[in-house]
Amino acid sequence: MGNTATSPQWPAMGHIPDHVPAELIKPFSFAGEPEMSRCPFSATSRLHEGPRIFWNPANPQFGGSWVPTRAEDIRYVLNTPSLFSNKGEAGFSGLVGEQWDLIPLELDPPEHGKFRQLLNPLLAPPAVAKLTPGVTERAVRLIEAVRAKGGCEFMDAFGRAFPIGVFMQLMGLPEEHYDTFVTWEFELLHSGDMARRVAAAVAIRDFLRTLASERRANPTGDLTSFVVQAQIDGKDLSDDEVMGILYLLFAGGLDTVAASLGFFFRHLAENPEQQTFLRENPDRIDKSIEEMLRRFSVVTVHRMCKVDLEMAGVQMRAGDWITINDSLGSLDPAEFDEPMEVDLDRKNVRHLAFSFGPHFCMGSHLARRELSIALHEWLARVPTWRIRPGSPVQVHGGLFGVEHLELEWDAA
Amino acid sequence: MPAIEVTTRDGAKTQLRGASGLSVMEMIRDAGIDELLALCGGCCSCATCHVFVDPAWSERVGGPGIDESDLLDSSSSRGPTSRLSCQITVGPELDGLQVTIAPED
Repeated sequence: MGNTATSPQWPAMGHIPDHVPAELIKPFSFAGEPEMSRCPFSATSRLHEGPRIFWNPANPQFGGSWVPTRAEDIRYVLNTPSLFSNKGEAGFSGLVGEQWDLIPLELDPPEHGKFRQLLNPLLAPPAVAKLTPGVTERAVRLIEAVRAKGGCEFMDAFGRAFPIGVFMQLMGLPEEHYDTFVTWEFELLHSGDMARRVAAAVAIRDFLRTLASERRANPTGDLTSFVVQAQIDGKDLSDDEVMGILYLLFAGGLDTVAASLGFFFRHLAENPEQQTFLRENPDRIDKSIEEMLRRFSVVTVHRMCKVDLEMAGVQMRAGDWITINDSLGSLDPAEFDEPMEVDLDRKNVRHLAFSFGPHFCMGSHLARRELSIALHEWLARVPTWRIRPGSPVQVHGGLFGVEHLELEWDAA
Repeated sequence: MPAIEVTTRDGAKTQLRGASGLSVMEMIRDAGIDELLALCGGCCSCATCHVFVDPAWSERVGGPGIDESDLLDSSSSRGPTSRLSCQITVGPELDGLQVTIAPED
């Protein structure tokens, strides 16, 4: 799941509460820091040189927030829901002037567990195995459409298109909606223009609401039908609960996979020897994915302190927000030697790309399968790809991602 | 304090003691054994704390729950006594339990 904001403007100096010591104040924009447009990961990894936990007054979503930089502290926050709440952390519904929670993301225990238990089987390994033939077929189709051309803009041709197609397959949506979803996804998550983001958020909400009411009237056995027919504690889910679930499935699985694909494919374009190694050793692809997930952990989330507390010597007050940037944990030099290196032989890759604790990514099994199929099929079908000389590679902060990536290869 | 015996991937056996009520995963993690990744931190979400329970203990430990069994399906090395170690709580009745960390998937 991602941060909602890809704010293009440097946010105004935010809020500094009285209990924040001056030496811990450090403005840092996970969206707008100039270095974010070159390499978001070198921007965040530099934070390891500063205080273990700092107060960031430049958080556009909450005015200000604490930022723990070490994996140990990040795991503690993510795995202690009794102290740190998820309520309101993503804030998508606020964008359309409503108040529903993204489910299960914005729920705390014990409510969270009830929904998680209900939804886990939809994305568990056996469900992913059933989706696999369709996902593979989709990947092959997209690759074959560009293979003979000797190059493509990767994000349009595959990076965004592939996960959107998988989402539509998961939801049982017909292909005719494909172009519409591509547009909405882009507008919602990549448009710097707030009015366009809101318009896309409203359009998606309306589409999902219509879909839910159609499936309530005529269930078809697809995922949406499952959700509208589900019960918790013997009661049907409310319209807001249905919306929270469907919206999270939409927002959670598209951009994160697209972003990971963008960074992985750029890395392999710039490191042809690793590309050759994986092409010759496809049994090592899945292990390499774990290392690339570590090196390129794209998600940022938030938690709110439920009580006054102390962490690593820092006093926090009830109501303070905490920014959890997964890349800070995955690139922590206290946990990983040479953290910025992609080391395909690295042992014990305990990364934070899928978060940690009760909110550990519900779609991780599907995401891994998508990444695995993408790499297997590209490496098997396309010769060594490289970045088209002279073309700009565009990356961004917010939910760390790749906007534009031109690849080329020697067409047969 | 119950004790368990863990066989790591190099075949070495290690005795661990922990407070009653900890999970097998937590006892292994707290001992600093890194090869058990436990990526999700013990929430039955990720299948990276897979162990084989010694057959002599299998009945007392019991089988996996439905969600846990779904997750174990993702492992190519799943065996008849496979469990996710985060889902095994160690109390006095499991004092002496033997488990082996499953191969890396």
